[in-house]
Amino acid sequence: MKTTLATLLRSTTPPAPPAGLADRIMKAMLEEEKKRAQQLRLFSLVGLSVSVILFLVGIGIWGQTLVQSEFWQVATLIISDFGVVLRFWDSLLLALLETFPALSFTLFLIPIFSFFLFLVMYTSVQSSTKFRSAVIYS
Amino acid sequence: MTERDLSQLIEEVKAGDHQAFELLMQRYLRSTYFFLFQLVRDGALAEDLTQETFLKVWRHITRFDQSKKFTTWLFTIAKRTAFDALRKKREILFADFAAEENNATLETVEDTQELPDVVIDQELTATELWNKIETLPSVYQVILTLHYQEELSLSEIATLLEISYNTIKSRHTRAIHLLRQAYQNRAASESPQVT
Repeated sequence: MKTTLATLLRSTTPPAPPAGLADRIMKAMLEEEKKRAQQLRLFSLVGLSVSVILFLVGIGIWGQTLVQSEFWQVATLIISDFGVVLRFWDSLLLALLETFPALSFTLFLIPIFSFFLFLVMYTSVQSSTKFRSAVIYS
Repeated sequence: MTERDLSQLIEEVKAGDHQAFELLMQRYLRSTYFFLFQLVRDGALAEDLTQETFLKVWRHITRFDQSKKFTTWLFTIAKRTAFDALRKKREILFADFAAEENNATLETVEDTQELPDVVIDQELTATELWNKIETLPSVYQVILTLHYQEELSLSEIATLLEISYNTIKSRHTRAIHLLRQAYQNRAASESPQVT
């Protein structure tokens, strides 16, 4: 049987790495994954807490702005004189739209959005960690 | 492992599958460790660097472009990891790489010539071959491993090691020549002596 150096080089494999290296790498990877999941979980929990606080503060600010605005005065007409509302509903609607405190309302929506964002992040971290743990330790 | 299997495996690793990552790592562990060992010449450091390389693969696999060759990407990460480690240790990488610049006369050596008939036992030859390879300078070992084991072309190796194609070609030829010489010497010493 004759062989060429090139064939020989292709058919042989380099010496094996030290035993246990693969396990060490997998362990390090899982450890890193766990640490990353913990960081993400902590980050999302902090985010959720901050969102709730901002939401509560936002409610107060927006409520105050709303009560002090002309919008509130126009809106109270709906309760005090419903007959006027029926007669001049189009003008009233326009007045409501014009006086609505849109900026503070938009600012009030931000913590709501961020709350859901962090909630999605938290649940995805939780579910992926659970799934992976189940796969690894099953 | 076919290209299709490999790309599917990479997709699974991208999706966060640990088992797929383990398979991928097992497939390239030996060659990556050997490549890094050739670069750093320190078993313990090569182990650490192999671990760091595969952790980087796991962290950045989503950035890997499937249209490119995985081995090139993997060995580029391994090389950079080794470079960083050696830079920290203030050692000059590939110091012996520059010594063989002017071996133009060896460009004509063919690498497909048959070895002497003495090369018969594949198992024995494999061990012997690696023993011989390990006596070669690091750069030759790197080129032989990447070219024959990982099927990287000489131009891909040149890009990976950031060395000119002609230099890689020359060093490949020189490595083959040195290996063949070693086998021929062995064959000559084993042939019966006429007195």
